[in-house]
Amino acid sequence: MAVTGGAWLRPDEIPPGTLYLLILRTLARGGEMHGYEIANSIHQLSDDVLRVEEGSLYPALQRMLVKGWVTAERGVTAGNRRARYYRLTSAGCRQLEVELSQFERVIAAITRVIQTA
Amino acid sequence: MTTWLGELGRRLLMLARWRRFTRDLDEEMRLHLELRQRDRMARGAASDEALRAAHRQFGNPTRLREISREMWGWGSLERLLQDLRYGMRMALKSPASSLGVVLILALGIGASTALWSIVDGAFIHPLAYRDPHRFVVLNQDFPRQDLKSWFFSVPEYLDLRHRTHAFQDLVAERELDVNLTTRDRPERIAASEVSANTLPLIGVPPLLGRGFLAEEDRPGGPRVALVGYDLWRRRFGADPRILRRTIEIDGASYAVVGVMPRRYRLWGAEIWLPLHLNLADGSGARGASVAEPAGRTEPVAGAAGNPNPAGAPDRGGMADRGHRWVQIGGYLRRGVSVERAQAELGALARQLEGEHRGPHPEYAGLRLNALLVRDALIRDLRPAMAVLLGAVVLLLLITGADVANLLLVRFSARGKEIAVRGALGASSLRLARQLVTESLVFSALGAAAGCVLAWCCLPLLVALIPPSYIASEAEIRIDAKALVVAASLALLMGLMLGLAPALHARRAAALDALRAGGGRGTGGASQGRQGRRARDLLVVGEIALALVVMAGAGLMIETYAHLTAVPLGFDPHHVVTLRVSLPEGRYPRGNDVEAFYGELLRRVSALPGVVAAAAVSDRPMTELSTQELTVQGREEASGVTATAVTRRVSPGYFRAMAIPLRLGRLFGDQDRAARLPVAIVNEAMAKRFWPTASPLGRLIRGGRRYSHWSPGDAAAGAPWMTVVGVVGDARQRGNVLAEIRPEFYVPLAQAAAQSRDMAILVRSVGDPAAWTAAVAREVLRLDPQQPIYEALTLSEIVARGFGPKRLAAVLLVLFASLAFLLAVSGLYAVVAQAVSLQTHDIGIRMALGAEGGHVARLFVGRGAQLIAAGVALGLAGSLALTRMLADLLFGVSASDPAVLAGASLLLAAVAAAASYLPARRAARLDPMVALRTN
Repeated sequence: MAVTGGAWLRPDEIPPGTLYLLILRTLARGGEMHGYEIANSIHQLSDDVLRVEEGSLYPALQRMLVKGWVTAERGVTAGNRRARYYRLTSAGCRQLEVELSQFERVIAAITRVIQTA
Repeated sequence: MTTWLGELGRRLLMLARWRRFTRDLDEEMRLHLELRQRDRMARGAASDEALRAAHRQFGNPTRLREISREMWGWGSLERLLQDLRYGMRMALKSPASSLGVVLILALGIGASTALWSIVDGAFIHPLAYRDPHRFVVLNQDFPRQDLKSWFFSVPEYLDLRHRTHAFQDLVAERELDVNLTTRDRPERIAASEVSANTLPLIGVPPLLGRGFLAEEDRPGGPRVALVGYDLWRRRFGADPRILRRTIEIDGASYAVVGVMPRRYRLWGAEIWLPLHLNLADGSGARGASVAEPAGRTEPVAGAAGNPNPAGAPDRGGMADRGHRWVQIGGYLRRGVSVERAQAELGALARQLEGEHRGPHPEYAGLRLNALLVRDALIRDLRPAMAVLLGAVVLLLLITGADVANLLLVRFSARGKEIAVRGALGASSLRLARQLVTESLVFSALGAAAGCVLAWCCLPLLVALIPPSYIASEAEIRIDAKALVVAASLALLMGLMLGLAPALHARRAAALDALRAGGGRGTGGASQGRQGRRARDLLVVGEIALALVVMAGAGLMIETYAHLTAVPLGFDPHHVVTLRVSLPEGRYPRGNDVEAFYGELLRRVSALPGVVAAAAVSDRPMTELSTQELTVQGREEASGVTATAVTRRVSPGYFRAMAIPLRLGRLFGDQDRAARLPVAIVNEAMAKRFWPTASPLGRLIRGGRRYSHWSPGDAAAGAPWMTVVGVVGDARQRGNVLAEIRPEFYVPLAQAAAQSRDMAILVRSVGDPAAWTAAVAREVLRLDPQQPIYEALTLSEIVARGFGPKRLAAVLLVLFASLAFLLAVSGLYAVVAQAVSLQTHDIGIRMALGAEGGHVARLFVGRGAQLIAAGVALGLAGSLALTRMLADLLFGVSASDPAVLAGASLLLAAVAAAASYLPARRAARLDPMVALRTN
């Protein structure tokens, strides 16, 4: 699932299902963030292992807006630039729980399969 | 559920804020890019290298935008809008051709929509009543009298009402014309006396006020009236206070108790009065007297109660079974078919025959019939409607072929563009969607224009239909249903027309078209050739179909010409007719009637420009009265009576009608009331009863009289009349092909008491319609309270008889002209396209030495091939399809060679000329210019 960070990267390493999970969790932790902040956060927290490409990030954010899991608001960055800040909604919180439990179940299952000799 | 709703709400909101959304997204991505660049620079990369790397990482912003937008689910809508915009742009690029396409579609769709509106308004939903498909009208056949009567006596009505189970209820009615006087302006209007159970049965509540109450419908009940919507608006200014007014009808006061809604014209009347029938035993105060042919009397002033005690058979009164004066309508019970009702009526007829045959010999072989009102309306017009439907279908096909042709021409010129799109990654589905959207744009515009066209032309078309074929309540207009029809046609045509070139574009090899010089000349020949074959087939089809429609039109024209050439027996030109009805109250005696008409005719004859004036009881080809006849010395076998047509006429009638005298003399001043009763017969009668000898001096006697408004009045004690003259046969019925029956004429002076209701005929020089006002003036001078009504020229009356055939002829000619134009223009377009496609080729040929004439001949030859194929196919089609017209034809067979030859020659000649024009242009091409054309 991961490729070492470097100058040249392969696109789309993160499976779409987990992308939502990552974004939701990031927002749950970080409160209000704009797109770049979200991508950066994921990148740093995963020790450069996970890279979210813009090609996946923004469509995912749009989809989450449609579904009502996040809301977007205009704001100003530290560098005095206009940006859109995303925030988790209550529906988003619920979705996060759902995705987390789903993810844990899948991981546990995979682990079991791997561990069995 | 709510989540889904919330989602839809958010999506719709985003749709509204599309532009802002795009801006925000762009800005977001820009920011992202900048931040990434800054980070890279912070880690030590050079500025521009960082920028490049950032961009590379970012990917394709346009694609990103697209994908983001896709998330919102409006991608397909956006694509549709894109296609529409592109389609409009392409359409505007070649405006002449686009306009042509839209016009042609407008014609086809407009014609179909108009016809649909007519058929729907007049024949599918003509009546505004509840469950109109259960509405029936009854009639009875008396085989002995060779008579079909729509009238029944009150005892017969009661029998039908109480002794059948198939009907929910039966209502009785009498039609009559009354004088309505308000503010000294008399007007003659159609009225109807109805039994009290009528309104509840029909189920139409009054717009204002109430209907008749059961207790008002008894004999001697109060004089109340229900006013119709149109009358209310016309005479009373739609005044809601009419409910408190009394109005004057035939000199008596009636209280208005209600106003009926729009589109309610039951029995064709404008005002309804109670029938005052005692439904229990059929007795009543308003017995029509024997001598009144119109079956209508003045309301007996102050009458209360029946002069004849209930149950006593009063001859000529309500309890007389032989006095037939009401019409009967009703509703079938739910779930009962008309066949079942018919069977029950058959059984009842046998019972009645058994019970009453003695005193009523007419019951021998009695038949009682129930007729669905809807069937009665369309019966005669069915063949014409079928033909029209066929013509419309053919026209739609031709329209489709023509438009397909034009679109193919446009699309094949865009072969390169389509190939490029395919190379850039458009799927065939996407291309097809584009082409279909473009044709849908055309068909939508065409449908809209067609609806406008139909809306404008509908009144003209409706004016062609004889009024007797449309119920008075029918409303023919372009309504929502018609718009739906137009929209469906537009959708259908758009889809078909778009798919055809789309399929064709798929087959065209993309590489072929992209090659240098492709699209024209030899490079694009493969695609051009395929397109050419399709277009050729279309044109051949168009020509064939056009020929079929033209052949049909030609046959109808011939039929109509033959019909109008049938001899009438009189001269219909320059004659105007109108009716006058003298009320018994003011003209109680025969002498009064005779004096009025005599004076009126004298005055009218004296007017300058009047050639002759006369009075007659029944106008030819409009009204008809028959009478039982006894001929002295030729009494038929007992029980069988002869019937003859009868008219009461003033002496000047034959001269006014230009009916020739064959033998003997015409009526004169000597034939007055107290003198010898005389009669004049027509040739048909003379031939029938006195084939070998002269009829002059023979004696005949009239019996029971039947007329279209009041049958069954026994003329008791009618005298023997001496035949004094024989005149030529004159057409009696509206249908000029009907056999002329024996007829006898009686002088007005000798039957004055029955002649209150007469028609005045005036033959003049010049335009007859202008005389209506003059005659009305003379009538008013003699009697200021006397209105005239039903003014018609004799030519109009004659023309009415041709109704359905004229309608079919006119409409077919219309369709044929359209089809002709479309086919010819289609051929022109094809040849012109061929010329322009092959300009390069022509240049080469001419450079190699070919002459202009030779080149022209090539194209004309090709055009001729198409024409020949189309005409051959069309002839075959005509022979097969014109068989369907057989019911409407007269004097010409469905495969008349003259008509077919004429239509073929006309079409071929004009089509040849159409193909010659572009060929001539080809011949005149400058080879240098042609060679350079790509």
